[in-house]
Amino acid sequence: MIIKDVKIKNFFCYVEENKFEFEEGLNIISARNGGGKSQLFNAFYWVFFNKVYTNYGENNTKKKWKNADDIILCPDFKKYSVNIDDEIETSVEISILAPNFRDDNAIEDIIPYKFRKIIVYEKTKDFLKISYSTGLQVEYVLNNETHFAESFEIESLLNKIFPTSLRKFIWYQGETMDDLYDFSNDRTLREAINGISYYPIYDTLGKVVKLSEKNVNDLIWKKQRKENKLSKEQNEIIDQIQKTERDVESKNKQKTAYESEVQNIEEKIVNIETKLQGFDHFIKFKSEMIELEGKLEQTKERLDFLEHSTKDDLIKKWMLNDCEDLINSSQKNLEILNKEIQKINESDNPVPITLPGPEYVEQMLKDNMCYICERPVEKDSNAYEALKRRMSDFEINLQNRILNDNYTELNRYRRRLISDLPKINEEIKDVEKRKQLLIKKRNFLQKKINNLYSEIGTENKNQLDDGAHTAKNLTNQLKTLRQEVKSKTRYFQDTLNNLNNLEGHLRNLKIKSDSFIKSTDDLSTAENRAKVYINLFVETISVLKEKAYDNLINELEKESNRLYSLYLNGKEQGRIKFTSIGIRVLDNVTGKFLDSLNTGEEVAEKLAVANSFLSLSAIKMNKSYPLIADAPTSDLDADNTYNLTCNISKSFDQMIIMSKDYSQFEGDELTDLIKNANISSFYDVTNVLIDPEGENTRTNKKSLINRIK
Amino acid sequence: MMKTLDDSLREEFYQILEQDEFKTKIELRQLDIDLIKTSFERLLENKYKNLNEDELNESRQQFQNFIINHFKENI
Repeated sequence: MIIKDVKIKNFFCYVEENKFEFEEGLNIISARNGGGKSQLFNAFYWVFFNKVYTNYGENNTKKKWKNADDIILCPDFKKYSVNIDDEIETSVEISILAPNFRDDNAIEDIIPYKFRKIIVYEKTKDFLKISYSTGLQVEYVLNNETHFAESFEIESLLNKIFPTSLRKFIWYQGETMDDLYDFSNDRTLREAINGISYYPIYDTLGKVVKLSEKNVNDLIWKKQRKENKLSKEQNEIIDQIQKTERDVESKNKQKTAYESEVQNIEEKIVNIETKLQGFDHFIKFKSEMIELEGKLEQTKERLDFLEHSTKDDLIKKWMLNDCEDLINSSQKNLEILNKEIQKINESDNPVPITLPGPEYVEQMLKDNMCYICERPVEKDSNAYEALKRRMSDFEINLQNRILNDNYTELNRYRRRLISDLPKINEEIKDVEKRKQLLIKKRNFLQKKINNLYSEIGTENKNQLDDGAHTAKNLTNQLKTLRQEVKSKTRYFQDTLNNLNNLEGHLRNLKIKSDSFIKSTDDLSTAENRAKVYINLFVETISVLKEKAYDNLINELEKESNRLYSLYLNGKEQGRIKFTSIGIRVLDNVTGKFLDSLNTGEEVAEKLAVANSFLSLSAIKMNKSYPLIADAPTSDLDADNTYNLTCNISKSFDQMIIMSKDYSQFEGDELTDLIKNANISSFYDVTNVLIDPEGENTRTNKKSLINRIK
Repeated sequence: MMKTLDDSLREEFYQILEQDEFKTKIELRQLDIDLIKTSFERLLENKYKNLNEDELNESRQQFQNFIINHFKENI
């Protein structure tokens, strides 16, 4: 695959239309910091994968891969120079030559493609809004006719042209080098190998020859049965073989189904994880927001409580302020009341508690009957009067109790007032102070919440809520999918064990059948003779398949080490080894893992491994991919940069390297580099003032392209 | 000239045939090495991965019939 050219219009620092033309071989984009190289890398990534590497919306300088939908891509100069209601068109168009995506069998059929994306912004009073966006459009020429890919086929087209397993090797972002690969997981390595090699072809060949082995055996047995050449026992063995073969076939289908299910789910997981990368700031902000909003709510409640609940109490007390003398004088009246109570209590005739109660006496008066002695009580008789006096004693007693309670309450209230009143001013001050503190806290929290909205770059809460909601959904999906992978992997493993048992059983049955077929086999029929050859194919291809993986690992190691040595100009301390726990560098002498490699060695190691995958793909599959790297040499010194550049051009059909490190070479040194590294095209990109007399601000700057070679 | 995919597959297959284990089998069974190599070419014609059931069967048929027909013509 070859990238022919890139047209960038109003994209970050590229104002109006700019065009880069690339050749086969090594293409260098040299620019100092802020020159525009990373934005060229972003232009590729935006078109193909709708992402940009930026710190937009972050409150620090750390860059991340972000979903481009939330980011304004047009240059600051355009944002500020156009009038309200004017439109700004941002677009990128990439032309490439790549295999025909419609035909897997025609990898040598190279056709031209154009990938295009356009966004039109409209300027409003305060900000830019998207007027319309085309999404990714793909145009290709097949059989001399131009076609447009349907939207539903774009994803598979991208997967064919840039296989997912190889993308991170093709698009190399120096700053994200640590995330480049994690081969501690065997599956990751295997998938990358499947992507670059013909290893899966051996699977297909294996299936074909096994099918053939089964079919030719069936033909032979059918013939032998027809001619009655087999005993009853031999016939039974053949029946068993056929049944076991059917079971093996069905288990194989099950195994493949589980395998592809696991693979699909894992792909979904990768996609969701990638999507989540664009949303993680929403999760972070949302959790901060929830915490702040919780605190704000709590503060408001405490403030309300302070204002309302304590207000009545304070007002009541405040109204009695300076009334201490008056309250103290009430003591005298209370004492009178107390004396009266005591006097009543000291009565000569207290009501004995053992006598019948007031309800009972009242009933006796009503019925004119004494229920104690069971005699009538005549009205106005002595007994009647005695009962009436008893009733009166009850009433006096009750009133006295009420009086006593009132006295106690009044006394308590007086004592409280006497104790509280001198503190009322202090209390009011204290409440006021607490109130002010809470108001301050409330305002501080409110301000923090507002700042948070400003930081995320969204103008309204809905956008943040939607983002957080989406992120939450994605996280939940991820959780479910991870559980699904676990259970499917378990089913897969069970099926694999069953399959191994069945295959073992089948092998034993075939040994038996071979013995009696051989005894009857005179190689006189074509089928019998073909069977011997087909058996050999089954055996050889099974060995080929086993060996192919090891061979590929060996070749990757060999290629990695060749490149590693080239990039370090023969000064490497160790050799790269693919192990079951990841890719390591082993000491040349001791053979032990080398830790604490210097930065240059680490860069060279990762670049060498990444490049070995791409270069092996070119060798094995006759499929070549370009290497598009942003800042691959950022951690290397001048010598290593020079060596790497000279040697890297020997690795690939096409490389596009964007770096600030070439700006250190000037004059003859640069001419030598271009010659020695066999550089096909060299661009110098500088950031210049649009209005030379104007301010040195980003709103007055753009990238200027100068092709040196 | 750049090595094709078939060249790579062929090369690896031939290397396996050169292994002692298979060399002995070929000798003992008196197999025709040219027939093995030409049959492998039939296999390569349908090498592309992820063939469906019908395509696998078609590929099987071409490969198998090639060998059987060879013997039918030569017995």
